[in-house]
Amino acid sequence: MSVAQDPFSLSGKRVLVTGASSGIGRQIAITCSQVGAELVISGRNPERLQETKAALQGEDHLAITADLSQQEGIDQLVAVADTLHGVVHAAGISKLVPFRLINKQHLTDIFDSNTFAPMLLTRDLLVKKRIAQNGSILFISALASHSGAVATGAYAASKSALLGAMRSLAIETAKQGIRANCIAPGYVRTPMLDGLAQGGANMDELIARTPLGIGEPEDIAHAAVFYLSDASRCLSRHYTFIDGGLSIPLDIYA
Amino acid sequence: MSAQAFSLQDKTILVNGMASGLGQVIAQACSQRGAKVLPAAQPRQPIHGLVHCVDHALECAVADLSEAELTRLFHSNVVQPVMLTQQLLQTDSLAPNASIVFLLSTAAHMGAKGQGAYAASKAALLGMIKCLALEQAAQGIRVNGVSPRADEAIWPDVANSVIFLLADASRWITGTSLLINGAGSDSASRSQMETGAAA
Repeated sequence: MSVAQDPFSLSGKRVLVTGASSGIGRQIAITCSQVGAELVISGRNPERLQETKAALQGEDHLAITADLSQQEGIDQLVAVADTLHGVVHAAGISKLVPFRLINKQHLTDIFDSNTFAPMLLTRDLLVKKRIAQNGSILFISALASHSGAVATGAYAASKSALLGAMRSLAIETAKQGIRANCIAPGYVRTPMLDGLAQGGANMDELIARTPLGIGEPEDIAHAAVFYLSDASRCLSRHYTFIDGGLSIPLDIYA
Repeated sequence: MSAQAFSLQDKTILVNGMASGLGQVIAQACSQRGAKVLPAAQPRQPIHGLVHCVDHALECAVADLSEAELTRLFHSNVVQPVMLTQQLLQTDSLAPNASIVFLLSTAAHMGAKGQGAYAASKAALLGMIKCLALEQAAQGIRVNGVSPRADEAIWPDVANSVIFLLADASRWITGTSLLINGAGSDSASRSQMETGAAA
């Protein structure tokens, strides 16, 4: 099968990945480049973003240091984005805070990064007509959006907000053939997971509960490639848990 | 390396219901991606992927449904694929890390008049998928489904979702079913999306 005919290839597609300086975003960028995509990557940390850029396969990739929780950061990125066939919103932050200690500042910080930034970036990309016909927009949510682990009140709320945003967006962009989906990872080996462990979570126990064991960033990246590729052109408005089966026995559907 | 994650090279795929229209499309797509495709189990041939393409439709209001029709439909859509799966498990025919894909329907997830028996038979598979996924996870065997709308035009896309679920690219996905609803690419699926959004 030639690359041109391969529905799982991203050859000829330009893909923006936010949060590409570490973890899941970093691996999504690398994996997309390995299946032929030209990348625009963004992140807050210039050194780590350059490290990701150096790990990409092929040339012609663009790295933009930007803080997307600020409108200036979004403007900067949209200005150089050019035509995109795929957008992956992988930037996000997490902090364990028990409900009784939540304050306005914590909510604002979490929602600015996890909810408002991907929504406002998407809006500006649409307004500036940066997303090509038949493009694919992918939000990275989290299993916590439905499972609501202890002390994730703000984080879980910020991620479940993406569900409604994505479903509404997908209807509005369907006429242009632009798809929108969410994938919601479970526990994946990333710096964010290390942060949870340092925040006092018993990670060994959580990982032991995952039927297929801990996930690797590649597992999420391969799903992202599927949702960006033409192989998924009939799939939109999905909210898919990619969690090694962790959500199967949970009472979160009722 | 990542392109290989979407390949079916060196995998033997058993397609249950290969004679059906969708079964043929899936079998052909799998073989194009490098799989050896079988219509039935063979002795000493480990199976890396099992795709059930059994799908019998029945349109009938629940008020008019006969017990015989309901029983026949459940036998075709549920009992046959589940017992074949059980037989392959009992004979150790599935390789470690094998992937099982059941054929569901959008009807498994959404209500529609006249679809009671059919929707229930497909939703039954969702229950099987989740429980079997937990039971087989220790062997690395994954269990998922695809839930397409009834439309021959999207069969090649159904095949691509099946390939994703069979390939190593989805090795951490289990216990779910992918809804394949057309993504609003035509006015029918777009109007369905908009109807749902009004609530």
